[in-house]
Amino acid sequence: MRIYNRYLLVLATTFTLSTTLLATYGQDRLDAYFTAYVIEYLVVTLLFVYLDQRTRRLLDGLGYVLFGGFLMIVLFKVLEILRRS
Amino acid sequence: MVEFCITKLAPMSARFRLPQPSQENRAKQSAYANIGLGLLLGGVVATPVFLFVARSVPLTALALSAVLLGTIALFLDKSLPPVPPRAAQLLLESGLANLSGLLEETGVTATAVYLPSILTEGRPRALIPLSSHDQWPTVSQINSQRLIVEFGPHPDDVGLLVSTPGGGALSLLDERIGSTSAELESALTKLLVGAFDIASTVQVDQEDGLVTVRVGGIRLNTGDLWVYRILGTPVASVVAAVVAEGRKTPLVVESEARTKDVVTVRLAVTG
Repeated sequence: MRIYNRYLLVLATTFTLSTTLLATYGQDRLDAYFTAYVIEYLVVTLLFVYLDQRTRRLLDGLGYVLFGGFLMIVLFKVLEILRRS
Repeated sequence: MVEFCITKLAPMSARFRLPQPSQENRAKQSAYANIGLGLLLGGVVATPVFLFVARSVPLTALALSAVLLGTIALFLDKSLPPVPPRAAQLLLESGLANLSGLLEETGVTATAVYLPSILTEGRPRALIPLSSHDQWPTVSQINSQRLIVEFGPHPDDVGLLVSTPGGGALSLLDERIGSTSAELESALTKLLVGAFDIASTVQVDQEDGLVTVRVGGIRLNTGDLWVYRILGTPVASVVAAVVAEGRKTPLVVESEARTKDVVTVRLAVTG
């Protein structure tokens, strides 16, 4: 299944590149890395439009879970800002 | 009722039982499962170590990405087809070899006409005329699901209505197929690149009554069977079935040429 191999390879490369880039710029917040991973995952999965239906359904499910995690981070940030003000 | 329950629960004779691969065996066979488990376990163990012992956020993030990649690899493993590709190819070849033998024995030489589902009352099929003429036959509505059918008003308008690899492949598409080149290209890419993983690119050109489809990066080698002269190779069959269904017109595989890993299929619209 070469399309699966390509998909995994592209994701692994983007994750590694973004980690290196954020580390180089001295980013020390874990939520920043997680947000980058979620965005990359959603974009790459969207670009692989020709994955078959069953795979797409499973990956979409994971996308919802990751997006939920991203929303939690946003919620905590908002609460933090409100608490400060 | 009691008898029925006993019958249902009685152990089936080993002779009739199909071998079911256990989950452990399947995991052992799939590289995705091994990679997924390795990355997931490695990531889960490494995350707290990097976070609390090494106190390095970038390394923790890297471990987190390993967990994510491991989960994705396990999902990919779950969506692998239950029939291994080699077994599927074997089944396809044996089915086509039987049909090939039947056609060769009956002396059929006419090229098959691929029919859309609106003309066959059900799934798309191909009609093989029993008598060959210089012109492509004009096929009207076929209201029979039998093997031998009449397709026109003349006495010799009789043919074989057969299922093709392409007709079966259409069931894998959820959406309706459009008739424009872009829509046909999208449907064919979903099948040949996504679902079957036997090609890398698909290009469709339509001009008058002629449709040219170039399938690049072909990874399916087919032998030389008699049936390929009538129905086309499995790739041409999928292409013809999709284009016929999209355009909602009968068509034939006019020619099929392969250069290295590019197959060019030319389809002529007959209706």
